[in-house]
Amino acid sequence: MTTRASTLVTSFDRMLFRRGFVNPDIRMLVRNQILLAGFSTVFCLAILGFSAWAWSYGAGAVLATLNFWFLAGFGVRITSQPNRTEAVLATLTRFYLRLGLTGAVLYALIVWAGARPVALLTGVSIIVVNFLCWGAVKIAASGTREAPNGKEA
Amino acid sequence: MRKILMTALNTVALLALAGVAFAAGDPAVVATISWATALAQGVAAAGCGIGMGLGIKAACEGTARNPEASGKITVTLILGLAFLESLAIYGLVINLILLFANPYMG
Repeated sequence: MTTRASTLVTSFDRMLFRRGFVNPDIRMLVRNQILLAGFSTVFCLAILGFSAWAWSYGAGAVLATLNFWFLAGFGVRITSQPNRTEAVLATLTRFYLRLGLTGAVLYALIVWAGARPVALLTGVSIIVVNFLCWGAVKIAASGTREAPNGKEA
Repeated sequence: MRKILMTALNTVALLALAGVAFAAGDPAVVATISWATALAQGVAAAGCGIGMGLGIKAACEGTARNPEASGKITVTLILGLAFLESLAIYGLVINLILLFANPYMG
């Protein structure tokens, strides 16, 4: 079971590395987001069946994951941009485009498909849960110090 | 004092909700909600845009001054941008709920 999980994580890492996520922290965040969204959606579908709540949650989680995927891919490239004005303009253009597309998809989901808004919000919130967990793990890891060796002691 | 305040606030909240519930389908209420959602989304998008612009500007400056710290700066920047974008999406969903799935509009 542990071997399977580590194989899954490694294969995800390789795939993300090939797609340009070279920074290990960002790669880990994107990987965790994909796994968290996927597993939580499958869990909801298994527990609740194909109910409106379950698929609305899945739709929200997929939407948040796709948004983060494109944001992370763009963020890695933009910090090496020497021209600040161009960087800010590119960020704002992409942000408003993404927000517009997200709005259109959310409109279609709520008005046409009859998705549950609370479930959609819960699905979108999975990204915040991912970041908080990542931050908590980082803080816990930074608080753990190795025992001093002979010279330091 | 606290009890009186809580009672007064609860009464105001109940009266406000009852007013909206009784006014379901009233064109004036629909128009007010439409204006409110448009204004709220405009403010949310503008605020998030300003925040993102400031964050990117600072990250570019930081990377230019200290290229060795670019990895850490990028991670922090992406976290900040994702949080800001989540806020904008939350605002969007709330506005869509108010417009198309409003529980007080029948």
